[in-house]
Amino acid sequence: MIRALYTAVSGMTTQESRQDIITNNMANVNTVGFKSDNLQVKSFKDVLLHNNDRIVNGINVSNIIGSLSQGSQIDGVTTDFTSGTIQSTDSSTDFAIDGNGFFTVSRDNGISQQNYYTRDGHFHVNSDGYLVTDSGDKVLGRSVTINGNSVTYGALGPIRGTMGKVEGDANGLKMDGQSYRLDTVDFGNANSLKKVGDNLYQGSNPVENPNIEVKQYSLEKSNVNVISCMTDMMTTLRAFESDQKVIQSIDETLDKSVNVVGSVR
Amino acid sequence: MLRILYNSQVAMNAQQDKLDTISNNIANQGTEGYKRTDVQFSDLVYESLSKRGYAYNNNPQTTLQTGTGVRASSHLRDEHQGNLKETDSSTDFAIDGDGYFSVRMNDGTTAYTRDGSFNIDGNGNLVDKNGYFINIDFFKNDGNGNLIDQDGNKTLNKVDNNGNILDANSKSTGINISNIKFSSDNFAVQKDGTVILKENNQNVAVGRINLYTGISAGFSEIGNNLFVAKQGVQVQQAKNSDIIQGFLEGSNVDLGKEMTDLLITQRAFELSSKGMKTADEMWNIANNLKH
Repeated sequence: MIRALYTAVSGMTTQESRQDIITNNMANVNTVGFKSDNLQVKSFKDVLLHNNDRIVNGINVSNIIGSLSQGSQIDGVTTDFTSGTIQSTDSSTDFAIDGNGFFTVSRDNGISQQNYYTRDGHFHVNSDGYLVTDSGDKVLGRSVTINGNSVTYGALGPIRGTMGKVEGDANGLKMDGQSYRLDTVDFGNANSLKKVGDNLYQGSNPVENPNIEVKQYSLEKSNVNVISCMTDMMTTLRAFESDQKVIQSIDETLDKSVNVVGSVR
Repeated sequence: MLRILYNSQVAMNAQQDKLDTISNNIANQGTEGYKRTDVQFSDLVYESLSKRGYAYNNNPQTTLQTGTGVRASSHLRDEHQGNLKETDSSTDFAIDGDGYFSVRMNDGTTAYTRDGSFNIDGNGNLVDKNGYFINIDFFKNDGNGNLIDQDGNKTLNKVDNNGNILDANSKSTGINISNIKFSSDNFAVQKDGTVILKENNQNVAVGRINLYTGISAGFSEIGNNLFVAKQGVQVQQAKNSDIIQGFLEGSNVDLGKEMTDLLITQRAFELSSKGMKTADEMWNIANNLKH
């Protein structure tokens, strides 16, 4: 009975965690470039049940009944990297990636500088002339110089201009007359990426891929499916409620076994 | 349970923020020179799911974290030009292209504005709606009797030692460079900003209204359609823009876009309110585990 109680409770806490993830997805239904999360649930390893009901040569010996699961546990959260819808805007500093890939941004917290990755292409030019994201992180790219037939790419660095005029360009963007190519990267294992807030991902071993298609004057919408969210929320709520009913009936059974079966009347 | 509740709460606040901005844009749809504000969202920090009382498996293939909601992270001015409307007033000006007029405020600081609905004050000066002088680069005597502009280029006229501008026959036009007074029908401004004074049936160029531009994020609003340049922001003359007399620039609010955004934001607000309702139900279920 006690074992059954803990099994049902594990179900309840797992459903609660699932609801946490679902409401975060719902909160980010309008966030540019947001990728929805899913909770993976796994059952505990089965345990072997046995009693001593088997009689061999007049002695009670161990009798294997079978295996039993002890409930469910959170296996982890996976991110769904399906592309969201791409929306046209009329701002020259709005970019969207068509397909896989990420933009690279650099964050300097005063002590060290670290690169993060994002799908959120809603950039603007800040008052210092840098192309930055909404959270102020500098977007990295390479300058492009064309000499006749040869094209040279500059070093990877922030994109900066004095007047902040951004226009379209075949290579990516043109800031104050200088062409730049945005640094777009790929990851071998997208599951190694970790969300850190501000629409940024932390990851290691990025592979620079200049063939990733970047669209200017576009933004990628969130890939959260509102209908799935509502359905998942309802099923999670009812599973939570079912677990409650299981716990209540276990409670009643325990009540009977403690107070009625053993009572002296 | 609290995580579910707080995720929904911050999401509703964020959508509310956007609704406030949308309604401000719609309210200013008729304001001359108004630039609409655009709002985007960012997700918040992620917290670990490995909490006390939760059963979890340490699977290295996945991360064990949940999000904590969303915030409205960027309120940026949309710098697109509004429609130019003809007003027939000789003191109304519109800028076609980038740039701002420069005005001098009462304490001497320079402010910038796109709002070209100017007036003539009692002393014949060109002023804006707040009474601040419009900065005009008047032509000067280069010391040799030539009338030069601010770049040192000679104009068509000469000027005598008393400041009177002379016409082609070296006769005084009646205009003195130290005493230029405007009235509603005695001046015209050309597309490149040259100010022409009409006196005694003569048209004489007396100065130039310049346009100034810089990184748009470097200008901060101070109200009354005025902007000031932040410290360290480079402000240059805008060479590619025209000044159109007799026109005003409307707001750049696109009602179709604002209404669409309003619908989307309202529904997102409603979605998160369902999340909050579910949190309440789940907590109720947990509370009633034991009757």
